[in-house]
Amino acid sequence: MEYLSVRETAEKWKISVRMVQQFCTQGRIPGAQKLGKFWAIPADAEKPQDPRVVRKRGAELPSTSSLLDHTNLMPLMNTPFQPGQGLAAVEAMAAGPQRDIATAEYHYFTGKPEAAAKEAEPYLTSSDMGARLSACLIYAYANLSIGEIQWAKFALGELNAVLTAAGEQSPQLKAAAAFIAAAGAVLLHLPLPDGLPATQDFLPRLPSGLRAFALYVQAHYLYLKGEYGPSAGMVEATLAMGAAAYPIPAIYLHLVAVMDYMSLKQTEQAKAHLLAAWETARPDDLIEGFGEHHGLLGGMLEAVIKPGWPEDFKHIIDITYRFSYGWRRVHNPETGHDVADDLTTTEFAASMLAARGWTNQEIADHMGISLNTVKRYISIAMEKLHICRRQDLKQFMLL
Amino acid sequence: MERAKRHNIEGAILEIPLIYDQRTGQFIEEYPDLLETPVYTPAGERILLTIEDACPHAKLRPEGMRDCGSCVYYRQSPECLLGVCGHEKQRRS
Repeated sequence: MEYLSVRETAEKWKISVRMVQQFCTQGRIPGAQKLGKFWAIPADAEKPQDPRVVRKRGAELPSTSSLLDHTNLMPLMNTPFQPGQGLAAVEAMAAGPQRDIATAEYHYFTGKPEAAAKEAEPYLTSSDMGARLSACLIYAYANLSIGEIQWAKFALGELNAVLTAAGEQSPQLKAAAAFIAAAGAVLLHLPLPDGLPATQDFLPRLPSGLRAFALYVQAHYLYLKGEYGPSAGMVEATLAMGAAAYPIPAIYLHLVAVMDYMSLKQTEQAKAHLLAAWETARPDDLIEGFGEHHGLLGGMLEAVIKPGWPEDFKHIIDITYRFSYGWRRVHNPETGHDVADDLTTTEFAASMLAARGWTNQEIADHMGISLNTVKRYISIAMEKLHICRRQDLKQFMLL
Repeated sequence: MERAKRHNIEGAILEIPLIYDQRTGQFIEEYPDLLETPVYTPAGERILLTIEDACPHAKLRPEGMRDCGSCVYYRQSPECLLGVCGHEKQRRS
């Protein structure tokens, strides 16, 4: 591949060198690489839109009428299907953007990020806004797991740019963009994007499956604010209102319920939700969510999945390591929080429970390991984090 | 030769083995089980890990956790996870 310097690119695009450098550092130029102090930019890279211009003129979006169709907005997420029939549901969709996006979803949620990114990429600049928003979300998350952080940031930036550009011109597009942008931010524990409308303003405009996932995002947001009871209540109500028929939202809703009930130390309810998520996910191998949420599940995967399904557990942990590596690369620079980066998943799980005030014996009983093993995990974690007090674990855990 | 770190805990010398952690590239202290094999200072007070679960004699600080490190009788040693319990019931008999 041929590359250009920043100065050459600036001359080619007729913009300032500083602007090109900003695009590079913001990850808005796919394929741009930093070599020492210099940037190498693919010669065939397209000039990104200047977000300042986008805000002024409302971006180059299609007409409002084409924005009212949710057909290609996360179609698999929005499809009710029997567990085990996920692939059949994808194949039953119309050929073209809908099936392509659904295939990318299927691969992403079954832990195959390389395939998902490849399938989503052609739609990143599509004029079909449903396909485009979906592609950006899938592409962002898939690239986190692949380790291509700047491409992930590029896609997240595009989501926010669409949200800004949607303005007031199309409530339907605004709703779709808000849903996708909120999902992109909340699940990465990033600040909510500017211009995000209130939940009650965009939720009614979404179809049932996406509304269920949006409520999962909302419940996750409440969890992050420490409002575990309201979050769990929202999950229970959403599932009771029919979300259980949509496997992908249902899995994620159950997982946030596990997080909530573990925080409330109601382990039986947490276990029931984990098993419900597992029964929904396992027939289609939809295990990505389990890997993504591992650090927040309070050792529940070690306690329930590991003994019963050891091979699946290994696969989940592989996903956890890949996803969390990218997650931390995006999360830390944005928020400045310290996140335990050097711990194994088991050290993290035991330390998180310790940070929540669980005793060693309680952790041992919950995780099904010996008391000495628990103390070993926690002491190693504290040494790696260079702390001498158990309560200092809190500042490194996702509480 | 096995690597170890020497600690002087109020006069008691403890050699704590070090294990290499590949993930972080650092040596980590591997603490012994001080509940099963008690160790005392020359003054007869018991050395304990700061992360041990609090015992029935503990008097916990309100802002702390339920562990030795949060107990008013426990004196934390610097730069390690060891300390000394000052409660009478924990003294060497």
